[in-house]
Amino acid sequence: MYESIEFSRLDRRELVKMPDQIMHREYHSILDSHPDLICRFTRDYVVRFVNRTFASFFGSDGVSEENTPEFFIGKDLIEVVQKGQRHRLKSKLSQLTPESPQTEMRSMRVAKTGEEIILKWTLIGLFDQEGELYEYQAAGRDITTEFNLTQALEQRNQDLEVLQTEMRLVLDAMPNKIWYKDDKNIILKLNEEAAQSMGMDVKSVEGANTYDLFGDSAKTYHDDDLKVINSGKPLLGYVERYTPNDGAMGWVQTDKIPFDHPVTGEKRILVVSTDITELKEQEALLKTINKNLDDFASLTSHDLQAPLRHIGIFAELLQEECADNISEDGKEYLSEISDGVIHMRGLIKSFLKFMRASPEGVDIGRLNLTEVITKVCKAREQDVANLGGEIRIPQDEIIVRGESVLLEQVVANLIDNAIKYRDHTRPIKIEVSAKKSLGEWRITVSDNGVGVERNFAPHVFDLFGRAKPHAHREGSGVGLALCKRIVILHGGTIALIEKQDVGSEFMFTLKAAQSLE
Amino acid sequence: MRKILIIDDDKTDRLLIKKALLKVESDLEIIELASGREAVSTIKSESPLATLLDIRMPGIDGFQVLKAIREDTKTRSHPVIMVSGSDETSDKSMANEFGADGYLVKPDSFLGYGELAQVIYKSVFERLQPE
Repeated sequence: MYESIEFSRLDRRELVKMPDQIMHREYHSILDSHPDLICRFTRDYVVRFVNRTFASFFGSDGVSEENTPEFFIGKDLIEVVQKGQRHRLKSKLSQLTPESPQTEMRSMRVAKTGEEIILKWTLIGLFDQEGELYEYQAAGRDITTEFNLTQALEQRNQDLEVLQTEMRLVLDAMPNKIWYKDDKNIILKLNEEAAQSMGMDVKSVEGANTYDLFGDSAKTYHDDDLKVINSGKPLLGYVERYTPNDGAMGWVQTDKIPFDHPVTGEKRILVVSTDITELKEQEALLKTINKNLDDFASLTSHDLQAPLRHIGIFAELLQEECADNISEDGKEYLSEISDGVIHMRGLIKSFLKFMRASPEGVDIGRLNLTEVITKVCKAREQDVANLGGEIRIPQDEIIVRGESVLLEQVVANLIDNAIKYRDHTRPIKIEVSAKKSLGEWRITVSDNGVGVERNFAPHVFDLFGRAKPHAHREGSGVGLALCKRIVILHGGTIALIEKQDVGSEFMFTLKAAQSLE
Repeated sequence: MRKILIIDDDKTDRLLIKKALLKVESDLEIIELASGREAVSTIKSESPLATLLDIRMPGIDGFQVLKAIREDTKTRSHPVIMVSGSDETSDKSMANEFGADGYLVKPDSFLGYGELAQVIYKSVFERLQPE
């Protein structure tokens, strides 16, 4: 044990004149209080000196002697070193030369607490004037914290790199053009799509000011951005024309979202542009098609209405002006013609409204569908009875939101199909039933006819998609397609229900309306 | 004899209008044209009291015929009543824009044609020859 020196009691001048022994104790004291692990040992690894930090670090628990520097003097240093690192230490020491007397090595040691401690050793070979090695000096420093911090930093950098790569991948995979800018119009980030639209690559644009890239023409965009940044409110769905780098005119829809940088609070803006040129073109095409369809429907209905009006008027004239020359049967036939004309006139008008295909074009209101079903079934009751069959109709009061002429068409089409595609080997049975659930009515029309072949089931609602196996039977192939359009126009659905036994079953839904009672 | 000019590509419509008009006033000569190509010249040569003009006709439609009548100084103030199967608001405003004196929709019954003839009679004859 070295005695501690009371420096305060020493005069500076005395210190300079200090005798060797005092100087020796002084240096030992400095070395003992040094946080590094310091030791000196002979070329045969015999320890000649260790400081207290060294002794304390390598000493064993509970034995006070073993924690003292004296304990280590004369010991073989290699014994102190962990087995796994002995060979490396010897190898490092053997490489020292007068020309290159210093080297470094790291070692890891598990402390008594179980904690892993990383030490960085500076190994110095001490050579005499002839270049002969006479001793080694080793200074070890605990770099565990530094090492762990470096490791953590490296891991963090690696994670950040992965995150940036992922972000870049995601950004570049987006079909939209994305810019991330500050309020000075500097493009902080952008994706490939955006860079391409500017005729540049990402690297040459990121970090650049758009004024440097495009001169004064950048001002318009900057002003627009500033408006959004200053208002603090996002600008969404702004549609404008633009000329991309390839020169072809197009349309973009742009969203501009302002926000403050989460750390610095600086103003930022995210600009996302989506090319909607194709959508716009389709929209224009659809408008033209709709216009043509509208014109076609309008012309067709007018062309149909003129001869129909004439048939009705001449039937009326026959009844009025030639009544004396017409038999009672003839008058009844004329009356049927007039009824047919009135019915068809209603159909044409409804069809015209329907073809214009806007829900507001059809007068959808509160409708008693039971009355419509009853009317349709009554009109066919006699024919079905003549075939030895029957039609059952629902007893419920079905109040829906709908248009009577159009929905009469749907019910009539389904009932007429049931009659048309009957099985001649058994009496025809048609049942119309209804069930109300979750604010809608589900109407079912089922029969015991020949049914729909499984292969053709997916096409029954297609225009001219009439089941081919029954193609010899009368029918235009429009009926079910029209039913579907009418039901969809009413906000409902229509489907062919797969039946395990004979016949077919069609189901359609309509929104329920409040009963007046 | 007082004359009325009917321009309509549909023969049956011409017949029905003619029949209804003659029922209201038998002392009337009806001149019929199946297209509007000779409208201006016929009005000039025949001097009818009024023209009943259809809209949807192949070739020159009723609006173009009306325009030609209004552009000619001699027929500019000639009474023209559009008689069309169309009940569309757009057609009615177009007729008004081109300077038609009236717009009647072709009826669905002969009774309706009788009423139409009455309206024409009142607007043409009674206005021109007040008692």
